[in-house]
Amino acid sequence: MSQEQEFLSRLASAHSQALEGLQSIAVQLEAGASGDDESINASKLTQEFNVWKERYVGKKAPVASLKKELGLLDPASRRHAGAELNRVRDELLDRAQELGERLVSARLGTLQSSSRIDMTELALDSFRGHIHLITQTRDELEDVFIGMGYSIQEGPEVETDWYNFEALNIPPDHPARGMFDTFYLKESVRGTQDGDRPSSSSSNKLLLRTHTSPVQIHTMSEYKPPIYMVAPGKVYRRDTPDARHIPIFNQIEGLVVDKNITFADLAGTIESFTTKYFGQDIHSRLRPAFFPFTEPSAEFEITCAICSGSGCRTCSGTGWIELGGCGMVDPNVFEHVGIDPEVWSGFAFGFGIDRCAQMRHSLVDMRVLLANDVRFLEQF
Amino acid sequence: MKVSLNWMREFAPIESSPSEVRDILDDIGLVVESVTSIGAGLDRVVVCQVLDISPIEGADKIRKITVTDGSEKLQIVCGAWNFAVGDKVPLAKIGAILPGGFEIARRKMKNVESNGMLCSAQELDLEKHGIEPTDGILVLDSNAEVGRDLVDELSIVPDTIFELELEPNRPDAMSIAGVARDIAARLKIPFRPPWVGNKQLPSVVFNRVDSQDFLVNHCPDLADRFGVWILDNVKVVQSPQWLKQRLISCGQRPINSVVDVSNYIMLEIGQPTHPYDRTKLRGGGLVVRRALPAEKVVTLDSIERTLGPIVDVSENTDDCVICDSLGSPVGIAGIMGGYSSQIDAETSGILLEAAHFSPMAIARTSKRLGLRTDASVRFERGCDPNAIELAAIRFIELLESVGSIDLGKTYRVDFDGFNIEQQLERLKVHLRPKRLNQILGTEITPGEVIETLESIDFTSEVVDDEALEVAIPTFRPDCDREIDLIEEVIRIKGYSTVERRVPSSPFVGALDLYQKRRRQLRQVLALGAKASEAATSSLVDISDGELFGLDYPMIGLENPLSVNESHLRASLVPGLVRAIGYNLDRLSLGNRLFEIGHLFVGDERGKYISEYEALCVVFDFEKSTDSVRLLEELVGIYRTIVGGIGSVDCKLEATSYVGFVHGSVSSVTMDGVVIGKIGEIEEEVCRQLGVRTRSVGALEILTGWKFALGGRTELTTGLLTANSQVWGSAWIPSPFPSAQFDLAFVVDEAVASSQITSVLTNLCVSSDLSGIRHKIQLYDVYRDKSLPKGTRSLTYSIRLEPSTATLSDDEIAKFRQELIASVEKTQLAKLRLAT
Repeated sequence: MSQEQEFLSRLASAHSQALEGLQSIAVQLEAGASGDDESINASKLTQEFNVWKERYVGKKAPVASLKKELGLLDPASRRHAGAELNRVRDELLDRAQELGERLVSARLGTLQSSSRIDMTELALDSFRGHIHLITQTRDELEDVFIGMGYSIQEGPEVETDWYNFEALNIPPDHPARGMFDTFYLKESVRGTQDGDRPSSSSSNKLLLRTHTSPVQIHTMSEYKPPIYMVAPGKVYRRDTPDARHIPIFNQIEGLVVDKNITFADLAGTIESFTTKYFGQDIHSRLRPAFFPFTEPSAEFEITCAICSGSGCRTCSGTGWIELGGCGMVDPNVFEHVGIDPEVWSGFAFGFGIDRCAQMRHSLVDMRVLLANDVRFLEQF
Repeated sequence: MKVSLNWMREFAPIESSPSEVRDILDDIGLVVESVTSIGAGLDRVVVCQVLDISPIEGADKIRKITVTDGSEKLQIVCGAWNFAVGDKVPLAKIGAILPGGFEIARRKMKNVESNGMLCSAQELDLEKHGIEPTDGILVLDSNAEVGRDLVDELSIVPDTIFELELEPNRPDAMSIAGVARDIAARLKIPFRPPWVGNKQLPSVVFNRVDSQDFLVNHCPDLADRFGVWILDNVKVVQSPQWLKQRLISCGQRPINSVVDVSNYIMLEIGQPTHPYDRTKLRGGGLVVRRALPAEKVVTLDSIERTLGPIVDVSENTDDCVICDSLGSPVGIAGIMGGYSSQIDAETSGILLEAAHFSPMAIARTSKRLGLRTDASVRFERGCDPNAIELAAIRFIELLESVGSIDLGKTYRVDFDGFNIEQQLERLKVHLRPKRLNQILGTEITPGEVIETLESIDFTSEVVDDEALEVAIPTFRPDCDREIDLIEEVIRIKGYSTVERRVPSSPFVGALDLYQKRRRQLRQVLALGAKASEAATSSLVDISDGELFGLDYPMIGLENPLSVNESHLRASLVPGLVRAIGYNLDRLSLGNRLFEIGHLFVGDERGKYISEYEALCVVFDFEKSTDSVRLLEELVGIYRTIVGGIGSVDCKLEATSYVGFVHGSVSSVTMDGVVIGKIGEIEEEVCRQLGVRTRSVGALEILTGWKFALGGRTELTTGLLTANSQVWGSAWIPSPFPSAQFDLAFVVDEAVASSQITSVLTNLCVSSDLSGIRHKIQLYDVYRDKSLPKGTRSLTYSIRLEPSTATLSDDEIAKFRQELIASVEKTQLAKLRLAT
């Protein structure tokens, strides 16, 4: 046998041994994947495959050592034998790569579909509880004002006439009382067990607060200025519920008392809050109004988010939507709580938390807030 | 309050467009609720005459009508049958756009061409012009001029009506003149009421009645100014169309010339007047007095009203009545006149009343009677005390212009008055321009201040460098302080002229600890306990409370809207159970709801009320024979909560509560104080609250805030109570090995596992092995027949972490013995196994 023939025969033998090993792995893979043999598993086959690779296509493989011997052949044989060696090597590499890929995908899935676990069916109870839309709105509003250096104050829902009306410059029989439909507590209830009780008996009458403004009085009675606070909470109006009004709803009150606080500060604060909460394209404007506890008083309106201010049905074509009331703290209110209006000045504002949520989420009927239907609650 | 733009133009040369006027009104605080255009939609609507009516083949509802509009014959298809040949009717020609926005085009019906539309009053929206809607096509007067525009034929004057939502402090704006004054001030144009300089009617001779008894005022505190004027030779007629239209467009129904003139003046200058038929007044004059107890008056609307205090006779009434000279009531002062002396077609002589009444008294009477009228609203907000004579003169002047009296060369008016000639002086208030700028944050000069106030009839004099003295017009009872003047200046100049600044708070804004923990609690509930937050009503039916034995301390409302909402909730549980029922009815099962809200508890005598914040969680669960699985879920939620917010001091103690299943309920305590309850709700209670098919578990725990008149206090015990924010030093895990062993006890079913836990804990704390960190955990509960009847086995794992040295076997054994002994000594349990 010539040197070349011997070379080629060794190559052929290495070739067929390698193919045999490969074939064996491929057959097992087939049997495993079809489910004919459940004992076969993908990671064991992969190990076997790695051993095969080391033996037949690695650095110590027969093909690799034959390559080193090429130099011993005469030049004419060398060319022919070299070409043959390359062909065999390329074929083995190609087939190894193909089988390797099949093995990887077999491991990513599983060999047999019956042993695969459907993880998408495991997350049956993926639900969570939901924090109420109004709470989320309230928290967000609180955070806007916390960012502006305000504290959060809270007050009772059962108030006396004095805190809800008189201290806020609304004496008995004042026409402004017509603005509030008030729930009163039974006469037999005298008061709370603790806390101060103003002297006159009509001032003592207990009621459900009609606005969060009494928290202004509580706060100014308890703390000395400067005061920067907001007071969110539940309020009550004796109104039959309809799509736009519910008898129990939530307001947020704001109060700032400091030296040199002006109407300009109020207007700027309202604008600043509006753009922070509703977005950069939503602005505010103030319009004269009447509230007994502020002077000058204003209603504040914000750009109608439905039409972006160009005028639509929601805003009656004006481009503005009313949000709340505000004004400079009336000197009479300061006098009720013993703050000198010549030294201190301040502003107050109040608006509906529910209304903010209504505007953001287009709540067409506010009564949905009374029902506690989980299908509603779980959206937020 | 509705105001007409045309009418206001009589007072000020307003050239702005209706939409500009609307913006001005909004900007000066006279908020526009709606704008109505009078005469709009009537272009190309003319008078036509019907020439022929003929049937259309194959149609039984519509007919072919031939009409003339004066210049040409037109064929119209019409479905109305209420007119005849020769009638004059409105025709909307091709191209007309009717008030509803409907455009008239050439159409074909049943192959017959229709070149316009014959219209009904409704289609033309003529009701607002005083034309009563009728069935079918509007048939016009036979004198109507064919071809004439309908607006001209019906004397409709195009106008714009603004409906204003007025604040209760602006009585002056309840008149055309008052609104026009404000608009003129903003536009810086002159305001000229037509009566200025016209206060004397040249041909009228006023003659004061020389009789003490003609006008008697017994209650000057209720009626501080009162005048009567007698007009004879009166003819009661229909008012002219222009006056009718103004009344209708401003919301008044025309009645007859005398009543219409009275209403017209009220709308124009805001002063109500009342005309009596003087022949129906016995004795000729008037007496003003307080109503007698339970005195009755039949008012103009033919309803009998009962006045005066009805219950307590001794109490003085504020109800003021106007009586004839014989003392019989002929009207309720300032609210509504009496039926007996009303003006009718036969009236030939009038006694006109114009007066000023105590606003508070009118408000009280009106409220008690449930009778609000245009007059009462104006009086209770405060009319101008100086407008009484003006109103009388304007009444006479207008009554002549509508043709009800003829002043001729001389016309004698007898009158009498109480306090009407003396003009009320203007209140004077000091205004410091510097203060104004301090409040507003503006730089308005004193000159501008004076000029602005002048434009709304507030006159100023300079007192010194610092202050102005401003005289406030008597029609502005809302202004009596410096701050009121400051508001007026910026209201007229415009709020938008104020620049915007943001004050810088000297504080770092933050939630307090309780508020932070409450937010954390919500997160734990939603994400940990998987409960959704609800918001149930604070107003409940007392029977909901009774189910839980809460009926006695529940506080009732004086004026509830309904029985279902007549009491303040003393617990959040019933409301949430109802919410669960609501959702079950809508096929949502397995709901967990929570709420954090206020509840209201009365004391034993129901005299004092305490308001607390509390957390409540309620869920529905499959019905089963024993409660264990439900309670497992419930305690799981409880542990998630107390673990989640780190309220480790909370303890459960078996007890019983009304409404809860006996033996399946515990109290929640903290430092020995009960702060809540937790358990399964009785089936019957669930049923009453609307839950029939499922079991319900609930927990309710006070969160630690209490509210009172003085504001808010924090209780020392409560779920969210964090005694103080003290930073303890951290425990560093010991390098010495820890010791761990288990102790299993046989414990009577009546003894709570927590009792054993606390015996073990107490020993660990008091033991001389101090300095050793301990952890005691119940980790197995085991029930078996092999155990004595009525007992179970509780296994505790005890782990000891020495910090200074490894514990010796002897030490551990000794300690274990001590633990066992301490438990057995209580006779609550016997050791079963120690490992």
